[in-house]
Amino acid sequence: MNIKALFKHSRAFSLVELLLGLAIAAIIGLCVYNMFWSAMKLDDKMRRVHESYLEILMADHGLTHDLENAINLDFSASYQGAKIFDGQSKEFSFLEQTAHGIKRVRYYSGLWSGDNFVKSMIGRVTNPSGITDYSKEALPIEFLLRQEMSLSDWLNETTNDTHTQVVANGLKKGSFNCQYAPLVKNLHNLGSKEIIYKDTWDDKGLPMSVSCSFILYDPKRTQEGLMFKRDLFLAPVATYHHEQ
Amino acid sequence: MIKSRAGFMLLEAILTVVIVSICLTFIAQSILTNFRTGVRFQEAIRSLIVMENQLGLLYATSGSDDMIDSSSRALEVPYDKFMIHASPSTLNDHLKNVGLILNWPAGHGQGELKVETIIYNSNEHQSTL
Repeated sequence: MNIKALFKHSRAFSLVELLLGLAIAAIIGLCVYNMFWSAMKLDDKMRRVHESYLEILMADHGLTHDLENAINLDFSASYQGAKIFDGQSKEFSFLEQTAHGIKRVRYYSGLWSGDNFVKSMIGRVTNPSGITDYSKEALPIEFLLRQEMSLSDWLNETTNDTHTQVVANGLKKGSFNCQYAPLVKNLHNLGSKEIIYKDTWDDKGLPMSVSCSFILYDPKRTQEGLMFKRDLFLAPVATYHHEQ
Repeated sequence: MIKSRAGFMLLEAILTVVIVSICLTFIAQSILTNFRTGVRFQEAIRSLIVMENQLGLLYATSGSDDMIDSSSRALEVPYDKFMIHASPSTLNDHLKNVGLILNWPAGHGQGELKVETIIYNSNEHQSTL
């Protein structure tokens, strides 16, 4: 059969052919739609996870910076109850030398519910009312918060110059844990296995290292999540440690 | 030619299906690549945190033997899928170059992050902490 003959005998589609064609087109269209819908959902999820990861990275940098600038001051003569470094299993606070003077910095997890919310550390301004609404719900997530107060606020137990920042969100509720390791001399010969962490820090001075761990909440795997652990070594304060 | 017939030729139909298939393949590939990039990005951030942990330990111990071990070892939970080994080399009497190489399974291959740093070489040198 040549081309001319083919064209001669060509005809329009019958109703059955048309219906069959439509059915096939509909099935293909449905598949494509499903594929795009799944891709969009996946993309949205990835974006949210990316944001969480970036926040964790920024939180890590902020935490490292804060702890590296932790200082030791002796207030025992005037304020006997004042702990230079107060380490609990779910939070810790310490004195930090900043460009604006000495500040008391506290890291803890929870849902922010104060009045003087400023902004997150990564520069994104968050709507305080939005967060307050969240705090009323029993959410499976919570924030990593950083509270900064002036030295006078800390010593006098006031809140005149105190503000709180959301450092990271998406932490699984109750998963933020902290541990503290005391100074170990001659670590070079003993090895890293000799760094022993304990759940609280009640000693007089600064710990050698703070280990923070938390689980990033995953809505698809609520029981598991993704665990992060960071061991942060405080800047060497040789003279103080020797005094200890 | 168009006037002479009302329906599509088989060749045209096949060509259309082929074009649509190629387009769909590219779209699917693009989506898959996007997803893989996202996973790699997350692994990269996780590996950065792991590496910073290891660097902190390396400095704190001034390069103790277990930190500059050149044999590959698995890290502790939650980073147990990461393997690390070191490649130390002496620069002079006082300084040592230490490369830390972190590996982890990434898809069909392996992810790698390598960092080099310089620490004191002397065995008599105590931890600065």
